[in-house]
Amino acid sequence: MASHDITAHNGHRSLPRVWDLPPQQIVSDGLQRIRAAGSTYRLLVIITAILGVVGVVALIAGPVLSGWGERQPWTYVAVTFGFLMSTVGSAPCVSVATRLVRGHWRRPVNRLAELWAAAMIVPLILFFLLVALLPNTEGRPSLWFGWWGAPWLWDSLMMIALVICGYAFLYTAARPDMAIVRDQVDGNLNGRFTRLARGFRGSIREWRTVDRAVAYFGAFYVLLYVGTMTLISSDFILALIPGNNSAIFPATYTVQGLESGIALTLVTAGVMRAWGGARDYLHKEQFFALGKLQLALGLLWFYFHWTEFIIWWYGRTPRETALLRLLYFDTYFVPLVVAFTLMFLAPLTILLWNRIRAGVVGPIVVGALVLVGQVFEQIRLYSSSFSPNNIYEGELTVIPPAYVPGVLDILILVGLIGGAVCLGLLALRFVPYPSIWEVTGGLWLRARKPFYKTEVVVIGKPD
Amino acid sequence: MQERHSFSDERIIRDLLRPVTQTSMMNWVGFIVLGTILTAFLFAVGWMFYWGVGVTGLNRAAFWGFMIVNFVFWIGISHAGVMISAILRLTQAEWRRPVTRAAEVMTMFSLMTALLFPVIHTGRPWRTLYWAFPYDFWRGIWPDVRSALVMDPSAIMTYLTGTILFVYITTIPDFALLRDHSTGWRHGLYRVLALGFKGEERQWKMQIITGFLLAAIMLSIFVSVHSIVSWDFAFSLDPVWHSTVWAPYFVIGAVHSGVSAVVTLMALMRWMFKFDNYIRHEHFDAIGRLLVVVGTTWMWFFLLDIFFDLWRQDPADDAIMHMRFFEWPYPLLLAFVWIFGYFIPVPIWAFRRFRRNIKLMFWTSIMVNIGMWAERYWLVVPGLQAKYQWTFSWLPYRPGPVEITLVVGSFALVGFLLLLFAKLVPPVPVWDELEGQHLAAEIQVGKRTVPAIVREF
Repeated sequence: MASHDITAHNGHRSLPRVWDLPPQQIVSDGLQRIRAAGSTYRLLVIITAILGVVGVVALIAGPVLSGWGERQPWTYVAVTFGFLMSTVGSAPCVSVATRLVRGHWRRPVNRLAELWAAAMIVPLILFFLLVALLPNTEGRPSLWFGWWGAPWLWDSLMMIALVICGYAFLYTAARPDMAIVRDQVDGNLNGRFTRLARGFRGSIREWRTVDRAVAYFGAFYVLLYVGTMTLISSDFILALIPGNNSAIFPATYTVQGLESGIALTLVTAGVMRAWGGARDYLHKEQFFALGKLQLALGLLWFYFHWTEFIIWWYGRTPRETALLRLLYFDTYFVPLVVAFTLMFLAPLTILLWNRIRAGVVGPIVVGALVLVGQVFEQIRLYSSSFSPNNIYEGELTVIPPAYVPGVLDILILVGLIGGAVCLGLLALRFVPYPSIWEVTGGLWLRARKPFYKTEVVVIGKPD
Repeated sequence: MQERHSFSDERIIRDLLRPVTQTSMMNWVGFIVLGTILTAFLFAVGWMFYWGVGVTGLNRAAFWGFMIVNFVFWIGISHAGVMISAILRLTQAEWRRPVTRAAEVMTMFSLMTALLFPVIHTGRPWRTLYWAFPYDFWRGIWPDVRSALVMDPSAIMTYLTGTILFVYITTIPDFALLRDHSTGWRHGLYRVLALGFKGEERQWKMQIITGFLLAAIMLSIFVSVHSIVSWDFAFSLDPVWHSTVWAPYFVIGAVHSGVSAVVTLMALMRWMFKFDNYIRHEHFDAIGRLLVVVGTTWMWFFLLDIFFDLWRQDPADDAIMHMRFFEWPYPLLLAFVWIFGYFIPVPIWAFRRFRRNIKLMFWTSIMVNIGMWAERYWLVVPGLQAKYQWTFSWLPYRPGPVEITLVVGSFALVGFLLLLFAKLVPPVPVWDELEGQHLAAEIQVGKRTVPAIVREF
């Protein structure tokens, strides 16, 4: 259904008609993809599934066959893992944050962000492959201070908890919609959604449970995400670069993850608007709000980087000089410049302009650029941490040369990201988009009212 | 549930101008008590200037003590203004309206108070001035502009200038209102300050655009100020100070203490000026939710700083960390930081029922600032007090009565200035409140009437 046009009111300022849909239309749109997959959707699933298979084959042919003796062949597995943790892992946090601030605009966006939790199984598998590469914490700096089972056991527990919490968050937020689907479809689909909805009938008690479960799982997810990113950044990056004890780095790594989570949500929203039949739900309002967040996180990412850089620059101890050469000036200068341009300069110079931020295309383009920048940032970080040979040294005495990826590395990166996208797409067959209960609830809290000589939209704030 | 009332414009103006037009007994008590403490503060400053910094507990090598801790603390409090005003203005958070003015003014006065301390702690402030003007370039000595100690005054002065401008711009409509409601010398004063504001469409547009622009500019200054304050310490190679996390850690700590101070101020304003209809439970609820996020983020940075101090496994770092954890009085201060700064207030704020309890919010916000003051002491003082390889003469730092008077006096100074300001300008922005009233609406959802707000989209 096409978006409504501008409607004039008393010949004065007029408002675009957005979200002016009857609830039946929202239910019908939500059921559309569940009932029948379109040809574009099928094609996308097939392409991404093939990519996923290619990625798995490359993973086996390359790092797995070379064994766990050396870290360097696993560099691009780590890059892929880092990228997925920073994108699909952080996208649900966008949903949690916007729920927390009770933004009305979030309603058609939340589901798109939460859906990516379905793809978390890919980084989880990669994590188990990578965690075996970590050496014992004895005789080297680490966050663990001799804890039993560290780092393997505790990192694994955090990661498993994060993935379980992500699935629980997605499921609890989608359960009312699954019940709606159950009541609207027949045959096999009815059986599938009867099992998924688990007897949800919409009683007041059930709705309260949904509200609380979504809030608690969401809050836990964010806390676990921050904790997991802190552990990953310290165990997989900092601890593997001799002399790198940058206390800000776990925060920088988490912030760049959140920045990319917003970027992924923006790009997903753009794709759904253009090809996914979501034009009636995703308007300037959503892109404007997400664009503001994207700009803010881009600035924050730069600020965190800057605070690390300036302390090393002023300190200029031999340890810091070596780190500056490895991470900033010599070895990984090119990925740094690309990441800096795409993750900071692009959001700043493009989204600074109200006119662009208030449009649809600008924020989506910036989101896509940030995702590309994120790949380069992960390359810079994991290539530099998986290259040093002797991690037990107090500081980096020999700066390792830059790691140049081979064909298998590129196939791993592209293939496994494709596999994760495939899982996200498949989740759309189980979880309706848009979120029927949230968007319908939003309609009740939204009204058009005359305001002096014009007409405005008023948003209900029940609490 | 919101407790918004629908009042006439006249009623709102009358209520909110009351602190300016009437002086209550509470006001007088406040002026007298704070004025007395302030006198003691001035006496302590005079005493220190006359006898020199020897009357304090400062010594070699602990050159930085209570006064610098107090400087960092007040800079931190000053972050409330921009946090509340600029960020919430830019994000169009409706609950900001009654608290913006108080937060902005607190920023201004706490910055002024903060600025006092680096100057007076030298003991001979006129020599500080001489150091800067005229600078004796003829001997080939040049100030190191790359030093954080040079960047710091520049950043703070920029922040102060920006804040004063910001407060002024957002107060112009209220000055105009006061001009139209006053006589005598007050009328003359407000007429000058109102800059001919008549409430024309163009004037409103200019005022709002300038407010937004200043808010956006102030955000960057806000971040840079406390970052640079942290770099006063972190640019040195002093163990545990030389940390990459200090800038954002200081900023988030500042926001934590600053927003808590706004809660204290909100409760005081509600009680003192009888603003029950304007500073409502839902405002405490909203700011409490914000504080849960801010406090938890601060705790994360706090833990990062501790963990990475220990991560280095460097003997110099370990010696200071040992002092911080096990040597008197630092374990007590650490307990204050943890218990008052986080583990009592934040779990309380997690519950809506408690967030709407104003007395509880008031006392927990005070607790946070006790914890945050202790945190600054815990961070700053041990860094200089340790014995290093080339330190041959050193004494433990023990603050004396002069410094304690100065710290207590600084609170009195800010309080006194805030009270004085409230006698000249309404502490809750009248125009903002009126605008909020006009933008407020109601919608019917089933059988329930829900408060609503006009939105641009």
